[in-house]
Amino acid sequence: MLNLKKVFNSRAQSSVTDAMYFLIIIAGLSAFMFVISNSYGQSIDRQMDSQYRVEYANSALKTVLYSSLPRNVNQSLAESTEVDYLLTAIKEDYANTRSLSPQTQLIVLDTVKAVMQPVSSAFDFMFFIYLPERVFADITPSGTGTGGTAVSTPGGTGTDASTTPQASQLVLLILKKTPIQTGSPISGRPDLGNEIPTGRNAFLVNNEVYFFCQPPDFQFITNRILPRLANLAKPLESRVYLSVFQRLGAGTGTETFDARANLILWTPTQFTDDELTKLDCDPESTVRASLPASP
Amino acid sequence: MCSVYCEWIILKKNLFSQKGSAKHFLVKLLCFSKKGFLGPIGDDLPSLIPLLFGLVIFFATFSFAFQVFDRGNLAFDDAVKIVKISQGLKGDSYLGSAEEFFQSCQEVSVRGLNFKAFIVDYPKATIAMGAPGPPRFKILELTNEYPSTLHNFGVFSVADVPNCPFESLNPCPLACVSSSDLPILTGNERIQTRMFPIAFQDQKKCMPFENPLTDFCNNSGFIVRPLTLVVVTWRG
Repeated sequence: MLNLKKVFNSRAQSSVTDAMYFLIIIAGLSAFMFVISNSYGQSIDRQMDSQYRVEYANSALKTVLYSSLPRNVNQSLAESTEVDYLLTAIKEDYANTRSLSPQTQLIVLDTVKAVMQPVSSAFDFMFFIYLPERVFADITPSGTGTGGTAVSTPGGTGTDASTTPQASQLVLLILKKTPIQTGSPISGRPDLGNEIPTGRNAFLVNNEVYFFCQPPDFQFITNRILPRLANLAKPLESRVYLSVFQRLGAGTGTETFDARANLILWTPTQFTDDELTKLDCDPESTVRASLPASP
Repeated sequence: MCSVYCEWIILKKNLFSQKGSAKHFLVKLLCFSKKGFLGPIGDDLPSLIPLLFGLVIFFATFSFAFQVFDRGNLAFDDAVKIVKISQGLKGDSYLGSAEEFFQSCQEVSVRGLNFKAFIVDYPKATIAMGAPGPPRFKILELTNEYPSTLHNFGVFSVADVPNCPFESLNPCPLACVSSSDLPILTGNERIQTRMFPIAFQDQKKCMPFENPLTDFCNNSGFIVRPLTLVVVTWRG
């Protein structure tokens, strides 16, 4: 009976206990609401930022290809009597030699640099033009082919052509890469454990940023580099279809085909020595040094 | 102590049998009508403290979350408007003339957001040729001084364009504003900037000769320049 009375007399304790339970629940809900409000809108922010970057890449690609250049590259744009689109100059140069001259490459590089300057401090990028894989018709001058089915290509000439499947071919690849050194961030201090990059990464210590690359196999870019960037650096890509790319065939005929121009941006990341070796890049300074001295 | 005394009184003294006495009344008041420490309401008073505390925490967090959501929604709304302004001005990234730019500027209609759009030669704008120190981009200096000229800036007239050579050291931008009576910036506004490359088709005009040895006039044709469209927005 004494214990029962003690229990009856302690009724006030349960109210406080209930209130404590209520406080614990409210504290938990408040903490949850605080966490939710802090993360509110972050995914939308990321999407808006990503959309802006994609729009930038699209605009940059069009601007690069539509820019004018003087026919006489030794004159400035304002004083030149003849100007033309940069894309036309690329097509003409490629049609003659199936490759771009260092002069054309550097003009493209300068235009890309000017266009990408607002974002170049925050992003690495790759600008490349390539011919997608297709069946090319080998046109012989006399029209006496070795047999096979005639393939009619727009602008093509000749008859009795044989068909030859060809892989994608690279016309031009410009790579902008932020130098990233491995090891200690303090250079020139071997006692602090600084590791000097070796191999192809060694030229990064010279602060070269822009490169012209000619990988022997274009598939290396699509099958190795781009998927790796997709996993690491969330690249943003813009692509433009270029029509009426021509080149001289084996004889006097011409082949006409479509090309692709791509501009890919990503947050700076490091390439391995093996990747840089396979990309076979030359820094901008090397290409500029190969130009003949201007009179 | 009180409960022990009450038990002792009840068991030992048997005062219930003495109804009507003052002691009986006191014992009844203290020992039998008392269910807790103070009373039915008084017993719940201590529980009010954590209750109130919990309510204060909850409503404070609630109002904070609402403020965050409100601010976020405003930012998203602004971001959508900025996209609308940029797309209206940029078009397909190819501007055929300055008049096309001004026409696009007039057609852009966005409420609640002020903007100023420039077309500049970005590499030239960021470098003061021959000057020491870091590059200066003074075109985008939206300080208290600049809006006073911005206030009178208005929209560039087409007649002013030929007087704005692109090759000079201080590139004069093609610019347009959202309205002719923009408020002066106080420094507390949240300013957002978007830049887009555009191909600007510029007529080849006779420009004032800065250097007769290198400048000459050629009125034929047009040139397409890679320029940068800069859109600066802020809430009024």
